[in-house]
Amino acid sequence: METLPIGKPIERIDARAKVTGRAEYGADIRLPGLLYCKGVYAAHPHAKLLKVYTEEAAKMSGVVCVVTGADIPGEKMFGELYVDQYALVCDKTRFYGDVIAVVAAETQEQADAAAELVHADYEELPILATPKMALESDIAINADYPDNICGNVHVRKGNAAAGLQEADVIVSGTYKTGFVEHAYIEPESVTVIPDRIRRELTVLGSAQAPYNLRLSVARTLNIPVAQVIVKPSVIGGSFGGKIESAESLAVRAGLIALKTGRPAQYTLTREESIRESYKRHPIDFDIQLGAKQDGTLVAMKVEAIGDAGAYINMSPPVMYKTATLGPGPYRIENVDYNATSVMTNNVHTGSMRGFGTPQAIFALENAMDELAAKLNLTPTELRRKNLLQNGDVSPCGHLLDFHEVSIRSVMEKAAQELGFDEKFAQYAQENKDGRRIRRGVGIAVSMRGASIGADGNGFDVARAFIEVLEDGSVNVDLGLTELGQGLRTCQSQMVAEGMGVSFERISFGNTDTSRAPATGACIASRSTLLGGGALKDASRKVHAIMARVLERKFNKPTDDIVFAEDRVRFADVDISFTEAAKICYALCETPIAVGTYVVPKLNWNEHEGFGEPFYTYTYSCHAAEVSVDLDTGSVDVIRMVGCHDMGRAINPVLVKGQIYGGLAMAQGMALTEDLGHNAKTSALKNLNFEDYLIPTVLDVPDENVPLLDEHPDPRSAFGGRSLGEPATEPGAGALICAINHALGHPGLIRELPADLDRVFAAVRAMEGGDA
Amino acid sequence: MECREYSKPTTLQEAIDALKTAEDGVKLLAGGTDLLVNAREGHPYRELTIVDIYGLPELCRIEEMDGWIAIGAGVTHTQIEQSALIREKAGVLADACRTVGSPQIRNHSTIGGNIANASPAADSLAALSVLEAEVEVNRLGEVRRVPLGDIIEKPYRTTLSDRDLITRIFVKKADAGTQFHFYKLGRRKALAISRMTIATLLKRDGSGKVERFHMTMGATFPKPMLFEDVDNMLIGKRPTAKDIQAVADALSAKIPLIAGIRPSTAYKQPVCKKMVERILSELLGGQ
Repeated sequence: METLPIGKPIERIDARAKVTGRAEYGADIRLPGLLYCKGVYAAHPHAKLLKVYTEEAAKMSGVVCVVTGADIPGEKMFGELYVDQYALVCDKTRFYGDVIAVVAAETQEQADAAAELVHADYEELPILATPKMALESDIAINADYPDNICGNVHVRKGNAAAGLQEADVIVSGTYKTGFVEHAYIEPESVTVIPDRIRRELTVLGSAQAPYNLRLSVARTLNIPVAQVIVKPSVIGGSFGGKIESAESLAVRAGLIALKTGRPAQYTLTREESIRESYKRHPIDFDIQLGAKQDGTLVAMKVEAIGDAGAYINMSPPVMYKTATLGPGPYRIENVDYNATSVMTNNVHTGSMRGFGTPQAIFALENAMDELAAKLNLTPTELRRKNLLQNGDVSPCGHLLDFHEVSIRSVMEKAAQELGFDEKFAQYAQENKDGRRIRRGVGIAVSMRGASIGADGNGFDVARAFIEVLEDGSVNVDLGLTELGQGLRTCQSQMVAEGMGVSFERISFGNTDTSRAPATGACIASRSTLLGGGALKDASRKVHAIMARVLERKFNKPTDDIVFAEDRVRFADVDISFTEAAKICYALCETPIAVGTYVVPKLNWNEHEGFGEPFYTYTYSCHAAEVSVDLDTGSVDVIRMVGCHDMGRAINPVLVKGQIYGGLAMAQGMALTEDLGHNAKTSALKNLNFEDYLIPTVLDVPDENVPLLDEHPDPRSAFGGRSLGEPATEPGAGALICAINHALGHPGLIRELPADLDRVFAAVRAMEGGDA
Repeated sequence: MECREYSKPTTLQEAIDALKTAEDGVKLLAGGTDLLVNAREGHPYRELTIVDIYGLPELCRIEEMDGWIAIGAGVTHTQIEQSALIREKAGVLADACRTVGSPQIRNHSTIGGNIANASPAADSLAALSVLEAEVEVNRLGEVRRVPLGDIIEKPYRTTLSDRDLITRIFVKKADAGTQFHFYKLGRRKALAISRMTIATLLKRDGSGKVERFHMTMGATFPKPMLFEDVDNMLIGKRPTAKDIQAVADALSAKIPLIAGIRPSTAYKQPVCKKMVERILSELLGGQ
């Protein structure tokens, strides 16, 4: 219907404040008496911490206090699912990003200067800088995990070994990915304000998951959860990165706020942010894929080893997504996908847009191209033979009979927009003429489980608060955070539709944990699905309250009551929504409700690694066109197309914005982003954006195209699933497929990033060393 | 930024006077796109006097002088990129300056600062080399002119004393019909530290015979270098594919010879050879 707010490109509610600079980010906050914090990093990545010397620093001018792990009054460790992370290390250091002390001073410069005077005695331990070293070592990084394995998910369907024996053609080989930094524009900044009356802290700043942060601060600083109030500031991007990273800052600054009674701000420099914040998991894949001569996939066997780094963080659920979504959107009877995370002394790894799947899709889709070449099929021909459709069973055993399984039309749309089939043939032909700059195209597909999935069975919940005020305006408090993706605008559109009122009536409160009920975090591509469900439930409850009041007022049945287009209609009554609201207040009633949505229990057999791993799925395809200079290894991205079925696009302009961003992020991961990890010392060399190379505006093609293939999902309150992660998921895979096509050799590039040296070396190897 | 003392003279004479009276340890600030970034790590200027010469009017001119173009040390990369004179008579330098950093950096960074910082990856250096650049240095009022290669000693180290002020850079004006080429290989298209640059200057007479030829690489050697032996390989010839090949072999062979065998050699040497071949074939394409 024309007047409904969903599906409209409504201007985002924070757009003007952001482009004019009025929006206040964490580091913009200034308060009377504000203290500034500076952390002191571990000098060794793996060492017993014997003694920390803070006396000299404490004497420096402007310094108000210096804290160490010993000062933490509550539990020393925090964490979301696994409590093993230290905001301030106590017993030993586990990686170069561990902090041994924090200095607080009147100015940032004074804090910085004093922090240089803190030093410590260490007893060095062997550095386990790769998963292989950690698996072979007797030394445990975390004593609770003596073999250094902290997560394992093993998906099994059918019999992969037998399936491979039946296959006519098999490809096998290894694919590897590296650490990837989130590279949000705004480095983490947290400000903690102590209450003047009681032991209470208010936390402002860049917090992606405020309710998790509240628990971590409460746990470590011994404060009741209700007395930790989190109000995220305007956040400059997160991509999963400002969860535990913001929490450790909040614990450190909170400790200082409690000790001094003064507000404390802790802002990381870019170098500090890259040093201590967690990354995308590097994963090594050993993959075997078998098919019949006609191209029918018969078996897939994958061993994946992810580097968890120094803390468990989100590694086990990341491995869950690698193993359950790594097999792709294919019809395949025999699957054995074993994903294991291993603790090392590297920077820890955790939530990052895609959560273990962009790596897996890169590996799988390049193996698919290898298979296609062996079968003498094109990449699209092979995929067409095997992509899922309505009524099929997913690689994990999920019967897909509840929504439109659109991956086929998603792929066709992307392929058509890029001209994939024509270009695939044309470039293969023209590249034979000896030219040194060759073009290629690649395509990659994925299916993404919406929200957490069965490893979160029973606790995948969202809650929302809706209040109708006497003038008919609608206040919404929802704990899902605006990270730059446009959540507040989209959720407002859903409230408007749920309440049957115009968008302008909706006042979407800034997230505040003391106002909005506890909700799961804005993670896992869950906010549209989960937030929408909670808002729908709250709308229904508020409508029920209003109906009851109106029934009393008019003395007429309201069984047929409809709230739509700012009107309330029942029996022969037709009044404005404003009037209905006024009546509620005039009769001293309360049109307020909290809505709850919980994902239904999924039938997943954890032991067998089989069943329904997710409630519903988003289908995605990225297609890429590149040119490769054989003489330099330089790759130029000519164009990328991203097509997604996210159910229903709540706000199509914002959805397209996410796709543009996702394509750019995939390009960085595929081609240039490299933290310069040292496999002996575990140190990272590239700690800022001069050295860690994200794509610039000149690198990302103006010609990139976002496409939508909408099929509203009956399992979602407003038909929408989320797109945060799918938007980047298959991109790196598509780009490497394109490079390998340009080089005329599927599977040639097997490791990310495909930078100058790696592509050049691959070309040399291909050309027999005589480049 | 932390420093012992800071002064901002408004004329060249005031700057020289400031250098005369300053205590030991002076650093000139000529834009700050390197210096201010370096100031963030450690305390490199805590014991130094900073004399800010950015924008001194005497250092901001581009002029023709006999066979040369004199470029003030305070001229920005953007000004060079946009100078009609440089584009016509020393185009390779304009092309090189266009590849520096980003518009924000180019609008602020100066050619004199680029030389004095002596980064081996500085994009202007290879272009200045093929233009046979000379650097005018003023030491407390005494002026001398030194070839570029004698100013830079090794990465991030010059032969200048802390009382030396680079005032102008002289580049040879090229005759009409001279072909220029500048190639930059970076890991991305902007804000990229050069992996390698290649600057070429080529002049042929009406019959196609090479009269003047310089070709060298940047971000490859410890200091700016020209190779007479390589350049002479084409002089007086109407180059054939074989000649091009020989230049490519000779020039790329300089990499292990001068820079030593390093982890990057396996990449840089073959890439250099291929790109020299490609550039010369392109420039000589009319043959």
